[in-house]
Amino acid sequence: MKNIRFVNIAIVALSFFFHSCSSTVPTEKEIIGEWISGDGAKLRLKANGTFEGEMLPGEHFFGQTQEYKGKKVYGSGKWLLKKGQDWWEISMSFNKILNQEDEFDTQILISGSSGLLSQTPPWYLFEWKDEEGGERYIFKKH
Amino acid sequence: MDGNNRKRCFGNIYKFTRKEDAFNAGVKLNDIFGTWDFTERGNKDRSIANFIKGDPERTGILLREVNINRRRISAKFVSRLNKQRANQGGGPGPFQVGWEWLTGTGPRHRDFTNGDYFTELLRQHSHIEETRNLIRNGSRKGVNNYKLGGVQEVGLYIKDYSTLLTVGATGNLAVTYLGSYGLTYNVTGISGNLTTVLFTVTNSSTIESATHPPVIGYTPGWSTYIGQPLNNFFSSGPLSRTTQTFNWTETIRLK
Repeated sequence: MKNIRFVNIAIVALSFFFHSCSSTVPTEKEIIGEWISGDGAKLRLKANGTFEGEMLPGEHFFGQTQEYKGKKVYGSGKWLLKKGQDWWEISMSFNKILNQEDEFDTQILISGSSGLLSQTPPWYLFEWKDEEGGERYIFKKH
Repeated sequence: MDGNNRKRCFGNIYKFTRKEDAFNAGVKLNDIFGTWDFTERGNKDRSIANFIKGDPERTGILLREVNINRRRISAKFVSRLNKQRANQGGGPGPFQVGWEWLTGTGPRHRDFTNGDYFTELLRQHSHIEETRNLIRNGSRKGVNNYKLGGVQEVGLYIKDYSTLLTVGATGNLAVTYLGSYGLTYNVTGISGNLTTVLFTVTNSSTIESATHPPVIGYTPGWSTYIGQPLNNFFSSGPLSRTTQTFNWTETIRLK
């Protein structure tokens, strides 16, 4: 009987744990504004749902392909705050990319700066530099 | 079964050294052999060590004599056998690539393309199908990485790794090895409602990626204090970083 009680308590505790991990949700108001990376790249997310990007590192935003590797990308398009596979993310649809004819759909992830699992604000935006779980390419709000 | 075949009997299991003969025997005698499986290169048993060393789909077909009533197996069985055999591509599979990473042998980078066994496995992953749906819904070029790091990905994590417990019956063996991966897609041509798409998947295998647990293993603290020091420690030789790139094209019917 004691074992059953312990299991129940553990399940409830885990539920609270995971609930608290995912309960803080970024809002559009918190996301709108100018975000700057350590190497000077800029991302301006506007209230009308459009964005502008400057000096965005190609390999982090556009995948590890030769086409964008090492390139700094300038472009604009529409953004949308949404829940991704698990991370909150900003879906970015580039409809103009300097010196490129293509449109491009990509995402940038949102993480908190505090909390056990970095789930609480202040928020920052990031792309994985290489594989998921490794180093992050970070944008902080200006 | 001619004299060139070395037939071994392990209880109700008959083992062939030549795939062709085993396959033919399987088709001809399908009223005897109820189930079948591929065998690995030159290995005489399916111990864990041999299973890890080689890709099991290489050399033969293992037939299990379970149908003691000699009930004729349906045409579906033969069709499945043929289909599996036809789908066998070349090149190393997840087990060989994993073995190379584990032991520090083999190339540090591998490229895969259409028809390769590893590619064909990966193409069956549900996330690739989700990406096809993005294209069907109008996206023409983009990134759609496969991520495992969050709380809700624990289920995906379990599903991907369940292949090891069920010997491939669940999950996707390619993704069991790859874990999360980078994916880009690019529509290279449209003809009517058919579109040609180039998919590129990139992955790196490191000790960090092999050891991080769900959720907490994807936090900056884990990467800084555990993952990266581990990667630095295993910077060469066994368990050091290897990379894989998959490029393949396929035709997708638009809505």
